[in-house]
Amino acid sequence: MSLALLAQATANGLSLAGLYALVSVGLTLVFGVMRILNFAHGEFVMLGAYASFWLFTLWGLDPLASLAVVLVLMTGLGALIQTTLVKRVLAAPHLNQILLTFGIAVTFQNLALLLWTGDLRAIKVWYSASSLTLGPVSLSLGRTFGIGLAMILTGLLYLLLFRTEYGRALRAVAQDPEAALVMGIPIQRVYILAMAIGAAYAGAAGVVASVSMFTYPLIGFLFGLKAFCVVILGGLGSVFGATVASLILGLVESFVGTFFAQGSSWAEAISFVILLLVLLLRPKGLFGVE
Amino acid sequence: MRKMTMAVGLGLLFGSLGMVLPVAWAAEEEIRIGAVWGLTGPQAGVSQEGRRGMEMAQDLLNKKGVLGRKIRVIFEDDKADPAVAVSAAEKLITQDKVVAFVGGVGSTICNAMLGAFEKYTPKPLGTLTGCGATTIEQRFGKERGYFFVHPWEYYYQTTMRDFLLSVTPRPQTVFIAHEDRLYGTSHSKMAEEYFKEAGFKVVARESFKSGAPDLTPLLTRAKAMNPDVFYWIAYGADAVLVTKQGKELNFNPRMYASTVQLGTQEYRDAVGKGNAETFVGITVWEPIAAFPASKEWPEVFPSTRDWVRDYTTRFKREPHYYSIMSYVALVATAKGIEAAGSLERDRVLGAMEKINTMTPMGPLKFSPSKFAVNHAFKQMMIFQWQKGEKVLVFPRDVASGMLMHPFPAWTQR
Repeated sequence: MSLALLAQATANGLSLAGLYALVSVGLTLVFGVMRILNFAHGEFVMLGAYASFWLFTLWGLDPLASLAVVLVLMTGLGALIQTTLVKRVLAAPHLNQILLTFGIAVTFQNLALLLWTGDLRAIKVWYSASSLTLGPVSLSLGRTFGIGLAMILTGLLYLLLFRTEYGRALRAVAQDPEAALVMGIPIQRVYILAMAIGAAYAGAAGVVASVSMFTYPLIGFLFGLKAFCVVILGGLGSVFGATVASLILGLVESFVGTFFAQGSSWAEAISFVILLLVLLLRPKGLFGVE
Repeated sequence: MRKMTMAVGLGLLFGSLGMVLPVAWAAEEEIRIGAVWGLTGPQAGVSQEGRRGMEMAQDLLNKKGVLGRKIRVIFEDDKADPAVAVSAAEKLITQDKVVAFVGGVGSTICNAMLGAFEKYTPKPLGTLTGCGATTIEQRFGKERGYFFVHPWEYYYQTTMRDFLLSVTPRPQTVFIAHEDRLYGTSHSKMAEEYFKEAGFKVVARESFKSGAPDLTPLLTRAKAMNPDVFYWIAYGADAVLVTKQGKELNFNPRMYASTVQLGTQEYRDAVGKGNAETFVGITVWEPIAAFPASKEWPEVFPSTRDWVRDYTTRFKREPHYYSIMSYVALVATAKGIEAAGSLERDRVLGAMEKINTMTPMGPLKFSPSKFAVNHAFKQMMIFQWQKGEKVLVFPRDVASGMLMHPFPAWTQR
């Protein structure tokens, strides 16, 4: 194993981790606050990717610029879904919640198919398949954009959670919704905020995907599945746990794929083995709370 | 008053029956054809091409009708998932009562579907476009009711081997990457065998998950082995990632080569003309072929040039070989039904076995292959992307241009 190969594998793993973190942070926040597993989360990624693609294709808006538009659009969509649909099942059994979010996912998939067909779509900007060479390591600009975005957005989320009144309200509701209500916190608004942030972060991941890879109507499943894996590994509801779990999975998948024969086929399976081991030894996940 | 009420009621009843009955009657009159394609997911590119070809054939056939009836193709989406494909096929057989299956893409899907057909007596009739694995030929080729119109994998891999042997300077080492299901595994085994026999050194044969969001570990590994040829056998989404991430990693083998899914317009549009430049792929057919019109059925099998013109006018895009293959498959099935004079399975397959005509895709005649009874279209070609267009570079007798070799390094473009 050469040092150059190790450095490249680490860079690859970090860029993958950035994407995983962007997708999963929103999902874990929604679960932490509302105790609801949002099966439509992957579809938010898909919609973010399509929004970015169409803003670029129709109006020539660079994804770096359209990111702000996508964040606003997805925040609105998240808030809309929360107020019109999810709100109605918050007190319902988990099965109802799962069925509802699954139904939203299927609806979005089919709408995307109907509107945009099943064709692969990708944005071609100068940095979408370009790289920055640092010695023996090639850093993809598109994916580096993803890492940077993940760091900035996760940092902002931490600031929101720990430095603002809104964040305090989010954490209070996550800890004990009834006590938060008694203390005068408008928990329905907090729920809307959580879902809006979750959708916006997933949309941001979609923007990165549209630049560094591609999108199609069913791509949400791919990301949704991975996000669930990350969130369970990190501990349901833990933003910090999701960040660490993204790093672990990104690096493990990269190292296994790079250093072992047939590793690219096994990488995903090994991620799930890690997940199983963690669940056996620490059922609440790495940073989850009882 | 009571009589009037009854009259109005009866009137409404018969009126509504009158509206319903013709619809039901018309539905019975249709000749239903089942078509299971991966319309979404990693095989969406070629599947949509195939669907367009079938829609064009359906509309053309319905101008005159077949046995006085309309053809109706019922499309189902298998999402590139064998289990979904089997459910879709069973729905088409049991609920839609289709006369035959036409089209499809992917050996993994085809294998699962034909496996599911085993429980039916008689087995459904099929003109199958997506079955290239020899495993399928060995397992199902003896069934007379299956008409295979896609070349078997040994045609792919012998063509690629012969092409690599013709390249100057001749490549020495090959890295084979493949998606880890039946299609990729079966093809790659055969490729490794043929390449080794021909004296190439296969430095690795590695599998990966089709549709994965990241292929950088595989490409980093391949880059470290510095092969002359990076040859991958997978689907359209994977081709886009190999190209984008190969460029990001500055991976510069002397040749990037793949199979059929590299040839879609969707691929070129997704990666851009510049990035597709000099990538090499295998094809059964290209729009620059020049086959004359059929003498027997010129209205449905015009010359290649006319067919390509009609297709391009209608869909505003150039046809892929899956477009024409699915077109020819549907027309051949319809002509079989027409010649049989009925929908009776054995009569239709007997009539199809007698077809011997020219098509815009080349001569159509079902004949035995290594293990199959009915197989058509056996020749394959190699194309290369040059300035956003596909140029045929092998075999020499069909070549429309010269091979650009070696691959110009990403940083020198």
